[in-house]
Amino acid sequence: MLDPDDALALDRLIHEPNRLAILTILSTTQDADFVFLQRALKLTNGNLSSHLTKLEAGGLIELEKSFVGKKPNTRVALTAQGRRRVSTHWEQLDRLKHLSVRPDPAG
Amino acid sequence: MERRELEVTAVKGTYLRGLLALPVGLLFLMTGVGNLGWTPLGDPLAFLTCLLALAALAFGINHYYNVHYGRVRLLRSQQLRFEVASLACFGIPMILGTILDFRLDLPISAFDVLFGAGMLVWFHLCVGLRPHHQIVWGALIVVGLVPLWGGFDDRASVGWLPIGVATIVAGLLNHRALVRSFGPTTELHVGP
Repeated sequence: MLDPDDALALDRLIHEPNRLAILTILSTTQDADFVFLQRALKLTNGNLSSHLTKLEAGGLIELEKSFVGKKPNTRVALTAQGRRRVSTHWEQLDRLKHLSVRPDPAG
Repeated sequence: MERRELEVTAVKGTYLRGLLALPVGLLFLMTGVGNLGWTPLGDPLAFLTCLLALAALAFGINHYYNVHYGRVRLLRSQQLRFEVASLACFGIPMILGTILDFRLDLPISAFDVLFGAGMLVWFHLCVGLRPHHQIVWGALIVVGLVPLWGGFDDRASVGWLPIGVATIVAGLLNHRALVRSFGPTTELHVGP
């Protein structure tokens, strides 16, 4: 039997604000590179790398490392699972937000 | 960060690369002054040389953005939407404006008015209308409506001049908006 609380369970891998931001930005792209994400989120090299490693280990993103000219370049793309889970996560956040809205005591 | 704000990040990163408007605006200016015979740009060879220089400039600017602001590919459905919007917002005004100016011979520049209106619609649909878009492209519309255009023999060529200026100004302001959103280039240590 499904526990009613399951519908409100948050995905712990995604819920970290920077990882949620990474996945949300990627949800509107085919792919983006490391520099773009670092610019967009104003993270340090190490911080962004750490988040991307966790997301890749969780199967939510794919990393492709190559060279552009002589410079290393890392392209990041959401997997199908990643698209599905980030969309579900935002829906759950919306549900929680609606539940937290208190009814007007006068009404 | 709000979801919507995050979801437009890639669009902003793609379409606020305003320095790319510099070679485009210069091309518009070149077209105008070349057709009017005000400079040697009326000579096809001179025009072609300048065109190649502008292409090199555009390539260099694009490289600058890729190195300092990264690369992003929008979803194919979004790209298609922007391509259709571009065709509608640039192509139709250019053709319709030229026809109206030729047929109606009013003392205004329908070409400039419709170009400005087309740019406002494009930015509204694709990136979100910012105050500087409204000011620059609104000013172009106003310039087009000033009833002094009847004095020009070659209204179409003159019309490219304010369009070129507006394109350059809007491009510089878009670049400023990009820097405000993504930070100046000095802040970033390029990653792996």
